[in-house]
Amino acid sequence: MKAIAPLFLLFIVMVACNYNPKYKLPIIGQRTLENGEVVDHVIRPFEFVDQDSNTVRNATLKDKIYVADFFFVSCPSICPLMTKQMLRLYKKYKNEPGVLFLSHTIDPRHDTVGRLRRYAGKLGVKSSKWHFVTGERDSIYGIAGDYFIAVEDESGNGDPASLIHSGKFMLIDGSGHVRSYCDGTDPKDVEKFMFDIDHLLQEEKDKNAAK
Amino acid sequence: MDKTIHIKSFVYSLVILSFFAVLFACGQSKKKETTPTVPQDTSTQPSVLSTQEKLLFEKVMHLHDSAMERMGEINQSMKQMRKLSIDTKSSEELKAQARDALEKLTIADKAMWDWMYGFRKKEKWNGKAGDYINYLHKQDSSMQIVNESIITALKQADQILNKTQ
Repeated sequence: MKAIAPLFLLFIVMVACNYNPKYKLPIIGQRTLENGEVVDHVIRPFEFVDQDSNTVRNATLKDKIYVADFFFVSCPSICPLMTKQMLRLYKKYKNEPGVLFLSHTIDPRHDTVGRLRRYAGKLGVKSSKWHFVTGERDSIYGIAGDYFIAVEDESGNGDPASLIHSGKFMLIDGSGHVRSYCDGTDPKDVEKFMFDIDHLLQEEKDKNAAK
Repeated sequence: MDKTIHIKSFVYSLVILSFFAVLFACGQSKKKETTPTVPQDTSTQPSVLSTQEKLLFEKVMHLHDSAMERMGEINQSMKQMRKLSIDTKSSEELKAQARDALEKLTIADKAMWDWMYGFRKKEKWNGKAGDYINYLHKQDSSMQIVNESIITALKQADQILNKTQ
């Protein structure tokens, strides 16, 4: 009986920490057939400008995982709640080089680079870690469609564009696949989302180590 | 008898050990996660509001959220009207209707973003103390106008789209 004690303890710890080494996050979104091959949904190439006037493109985020959301500085309702939760994530992963954050403004007319810089400054976050990006309105809505069409397929909420103000956080892997999402206004949902980030981070590290 | 006591104390020790193991394994990181320092401007419900102000604030926000839900649709309709207004296959009458609908959509869209840009929470509002309730009443009225213009513009665009199908 004494022999099973350490195994029992290990089991308790694994259950309590929600740890499952075999668990792999699914790739979210519809698969398509291209040239006879099944292709997973992937975020299209993009190019935006961040709070430091630096260009952020797919290559900036390559081989890293990132959390993306859509917000705007003067949003009086859900964005403050989202920012509070995103800050939780930022604080947890700020020393983890494999994780980045990408917040797209959906009000590019008012949210200039300067305004985004002031906003980031107030939050006290590093621009190399958390990019607040702006760009052409059509590009922003276009990329939103790419993120949300994946989410919409799963949730069945209708028009992907209507999700642009839904408060969702999306988790993207190093190859541009949407791997998880959560309600960024719900602290409990964000808590669960952190487990997904941890799992994906480990997966990405394993993948990069094998290269 | 001795054996029973021995098993009981073993199980008891196992439970205690499990409890500490769980605390040790998961407790530390969760503590760090749940105590962020949040800047003041990320609060959504200012505690400085009186009950009446809070009720009105929530009413305005509810209206704002329902209008905001349709902004993706506005963007989509704008693209469709822009396309129709320059489509060589469209009749001159249809092009003119699409241009008119596009203008209405653009006005509604701009009005919404401008309203949000101009809206002030109490802690950032510079008016006289006690006047915030009047400010919220005015914001409620203007948000209703914006909401109406969004609904009307979308309806007009839908009617034009239905003609083309």
